[in-house]
Amino acid sequence: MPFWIKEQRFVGNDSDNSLKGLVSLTNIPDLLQFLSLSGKQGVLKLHGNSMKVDGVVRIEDGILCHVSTARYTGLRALREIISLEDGSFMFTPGESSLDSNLDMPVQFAVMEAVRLNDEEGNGASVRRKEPAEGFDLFALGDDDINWDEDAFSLDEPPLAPKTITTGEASALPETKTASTPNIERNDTAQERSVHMPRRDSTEILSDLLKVPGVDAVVVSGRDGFIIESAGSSSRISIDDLGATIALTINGIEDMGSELEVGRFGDLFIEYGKAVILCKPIGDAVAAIIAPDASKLGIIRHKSKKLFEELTELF
Amino acid sequence: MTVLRDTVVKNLAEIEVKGDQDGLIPAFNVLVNNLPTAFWNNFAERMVAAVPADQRAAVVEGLVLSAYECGYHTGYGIITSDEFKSVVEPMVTEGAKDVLRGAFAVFTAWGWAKSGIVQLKEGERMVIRAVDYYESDSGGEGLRAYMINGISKAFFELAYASPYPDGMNTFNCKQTKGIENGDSFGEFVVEKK
Repeated sequence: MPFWIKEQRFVGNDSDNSLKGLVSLTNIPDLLQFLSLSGKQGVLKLHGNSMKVDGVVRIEDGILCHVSTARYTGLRALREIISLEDGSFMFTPGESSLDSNLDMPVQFAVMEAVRLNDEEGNGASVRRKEPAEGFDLFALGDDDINWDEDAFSLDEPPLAPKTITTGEASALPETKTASTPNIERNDTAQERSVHMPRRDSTEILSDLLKVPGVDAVVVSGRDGFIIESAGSSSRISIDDLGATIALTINGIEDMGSELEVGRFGDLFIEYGKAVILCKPIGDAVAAIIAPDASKLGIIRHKSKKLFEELTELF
Repeated sequence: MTVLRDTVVKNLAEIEVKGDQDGLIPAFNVLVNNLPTAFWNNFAERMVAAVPADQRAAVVEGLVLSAYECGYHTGYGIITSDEFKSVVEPMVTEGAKDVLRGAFAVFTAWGWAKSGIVQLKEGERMVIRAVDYYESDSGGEGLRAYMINGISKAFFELAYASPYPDGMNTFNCKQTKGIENGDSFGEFVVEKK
């Protein structure tokens, strides 16, 4: 483990034309999508500080060809990598001699990794990070980033005591430090109440609207009453949406009861001109309207925490 | 299935509304009038403005109380009416919660306020939001949606307090936001006293 990354052999340009940054200022799915959409080909190296995860990803023409960490390879490694919330990354364009252990479009791979993490409650959600105003993640000088190849050869540095925040708890080791609050791992509401004041729904909806690819967000009661909405869509009438969501969800829940498969947890509908993603939030239903499914992975990522926040309000 | 307000509103819109020789409309077991909303807004505004500042709170309380008492009896008339039974009741599957949804759908259909339930803890707490209500056009200062305030409390008592007519004054309602006060919607929180 300590020398694992050093053993990787990369062929290509040196760090002069590489892209470096701090994971804490973005998140891995965003970064992967950026590299994919900008047609980059090369190797992304990642080092996670608190989780002590080092990873390597090779991207070619929007395809993830290789993903590995010290413990895993392929999709399982990607699941570990996307949970990183701090550390640093360096992307070096060019070809690589890394073996292929995955062959998936970036978008699909990320979605699948998140889905699997969600199912296992593995802290997959990617925390939204808001850089300071005017801050350009990629305009950092080398001195600004504590990028050090030796960082990949960490000899198990002690974890700094840290406070567990929502989404991190499940990713941390079981052992709690003295400064770790005594919080039940699954008690999201309790965690949130300890660490952050409850925001109102308008603020949360406004954050949802900032997620790339989201045109509009609607919160509707089970009876179809539009409780709140944000944004607008030229494709769908928001007022009509409330009534149709209520009708649809009622039908789906009836089906769930009939089939005895539990309550509905997620609904994704793709039409020719719009995509609608519905999720129950407490006694209400939230619907996200997007123009197409191209950013569905990112939308699901970034909206998860916000939906959880909304659930506490309705 | 639960009560779908769109269905309720569309069905109620088909009911013929016609005043009798006194201008009153017999519907939902009650008599409804058909006066311009500006009349009621002016009425409330003048009432409040007519008294010294230190007595305004008492007048406001009286206006809410009027709406509450009217709402309690009218609400009972609504939920026991033939119209409610034929339009709303077939969709009621969640008991009192659905009756409340239906009552607010009727409230909307009649043009009093486009309002609905945001949060409901059965028998304990309810949050109502209104996005279009005639009192938002009223003059004056502060939160002044007296009618929705009183009605929300009345409906909640009809659903969860002792059976009619013994359930009055079990809950409180407080208006926390209002379009008339610069917010984007009106919000009303009903809680136990």
